[in-house]
Amino acid sequence: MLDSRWFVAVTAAAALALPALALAEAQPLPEGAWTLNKDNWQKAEGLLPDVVLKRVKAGDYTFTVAPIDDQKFKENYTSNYWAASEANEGKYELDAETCGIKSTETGELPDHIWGQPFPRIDPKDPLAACKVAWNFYLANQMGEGVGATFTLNGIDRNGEFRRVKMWLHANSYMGRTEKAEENPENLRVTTMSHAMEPADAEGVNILSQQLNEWDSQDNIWAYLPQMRRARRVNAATRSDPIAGLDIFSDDLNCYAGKVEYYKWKIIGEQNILAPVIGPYALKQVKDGDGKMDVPIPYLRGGYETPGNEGAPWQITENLVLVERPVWVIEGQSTDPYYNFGKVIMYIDKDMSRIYWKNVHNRAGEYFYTAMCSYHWSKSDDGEFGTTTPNMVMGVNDKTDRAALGGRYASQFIDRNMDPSAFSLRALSRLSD
Amino acid sequence: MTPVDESAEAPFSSRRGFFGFLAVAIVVLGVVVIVDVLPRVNPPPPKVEGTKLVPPALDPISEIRIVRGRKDFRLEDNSGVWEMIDAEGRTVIGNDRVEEFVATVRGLVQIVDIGESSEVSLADFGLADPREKLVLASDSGAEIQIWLGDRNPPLTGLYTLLLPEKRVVLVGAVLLLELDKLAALASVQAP
Repeated sequence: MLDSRWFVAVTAAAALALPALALAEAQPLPEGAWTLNKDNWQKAEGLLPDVVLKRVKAGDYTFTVAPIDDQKFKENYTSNYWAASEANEGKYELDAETCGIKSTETGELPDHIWGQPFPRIDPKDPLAACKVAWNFYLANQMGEGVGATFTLNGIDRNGEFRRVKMWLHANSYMGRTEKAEENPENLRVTTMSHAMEPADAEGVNILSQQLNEWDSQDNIWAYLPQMRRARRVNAATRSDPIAGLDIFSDDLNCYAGKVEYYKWKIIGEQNILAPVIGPYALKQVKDGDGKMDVPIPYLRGGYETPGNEGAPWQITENLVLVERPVWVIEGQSTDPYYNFGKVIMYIDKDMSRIYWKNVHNRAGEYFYTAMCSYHWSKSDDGEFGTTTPNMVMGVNDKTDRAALGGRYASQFIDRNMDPSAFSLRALSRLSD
Repeated sequence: MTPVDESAEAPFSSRRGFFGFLAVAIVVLGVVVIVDVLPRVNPPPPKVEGTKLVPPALDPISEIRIVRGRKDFRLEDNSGVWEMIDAEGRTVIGNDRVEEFVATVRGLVQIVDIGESSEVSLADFGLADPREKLVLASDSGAEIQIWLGDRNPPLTGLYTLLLPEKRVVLVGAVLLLELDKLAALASVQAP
């Protein structure tokens, strides 16, 4: 029987994070961009996780580093996002035990929050890391309804050894730009995914729901075409490798779980080189009422680049690193079934994106680093915008293997997604 | 030719249909119970096996000494309040920081037991000139010394020399992270 756990894992994670995806021309390099490689690796000392810098030094990675205008970069989010964030000051507080969010005024769990709930972070606040996590979590959802078709590529020193193709659609409720008219199932976000290739995974569909509760686990159902039926699946597989690849479902956005699943702690602050496409907001192309496409340049991998001299999994086109101030956050799952031990994440102080994470196993052994890249997009009038994870490069430093996930050729945004497309009925009919 | 008694066939057919239906119903009911009624079966929790880095008998830990390069500092449990003692004097520090450190170090296991220190070349593991020394002691006077060598090549763990056992073992790199966090309290940089 098909073991669908890997697929469940990727979708579960994706569940919560992926907002969007079109094919675009290569990005022109920003003015002042320079190349970081083994000849000048020292220039990145203190600006990359140690394990990544070590690979730059060894010649595995060559990056394009671009200077940015910090204010213009902040404007990748809409002005109404920043205004709403300011207006949120003092409106929300946290439950110290669970890290659950609640309204300061009513003490109740809000069903919709637009903007950062905690626009100012005091690192001395014992709940500061939790607040950073909430700013991150809700920013993932501003795109409302989004979808993408993408691949997962397993890559070792000899090149690509496995490729999985799938699509994923996500409909967000809690952090969306405009509150949904209806949310009868009290969801934060729901996703539907469908595997297209290879043949052994084709037709596997996954539906996931993240409930707007402090203490519930995600609901996940899988439709297996071999059985011609849907069944419920355990949600505690987000830290399992996907399809034998060096990538995990909790890698989307670098963290795809509920905020409440982790214990969060600020352990430092620094600047980091952050992987992005752009680096400024890409253009949304209107495609009907509430629907947009975003042309995205392809992130070519080393394994598909003739003459590539670095690691086969490095990105050789259209990715730039920009220097950003980050909180260094330590997260540790409260779930005894979770495979990861301590996870170190680098979260943008302003843009609330996690760019890098270093993962230890439960024996305390470091083994894995994920690089999570993003792009931003805006409507013509600048009133609607979103941020989207566009790639995860997961590298297992113990086995010297990696996986690339994402790198989609098309993205859509649909602000009026039909909730019935995220139902058990839809799950089983997708493969009919 | 023997005439067929159709009246005798009917009850048998009816019974067969009934039992067939019953079998199907039982199967369907069983599937429903397994899939939707029985509690979901969780996967077994990850197991961290192996010998603990810190002997469980060393409990409670009441003193922590750290030597980083030429600098050193000490943490002492003073009636439930952890204090840092260095050249500057005594400073009260948050118990949660120390308790987390102790809990993490207690959770570490010996990933690989390299062998007796006299049987290996300490220099091969960066232990001939250890980068740091960590000493954990209890009120009873028992203590363990953990000398930290260079990290292993992919940075996934680090080699340590355990004293008084005199064994070289590989442990998780999270130990370095925890030491960095603790040392940040005293602004002691890693050598």
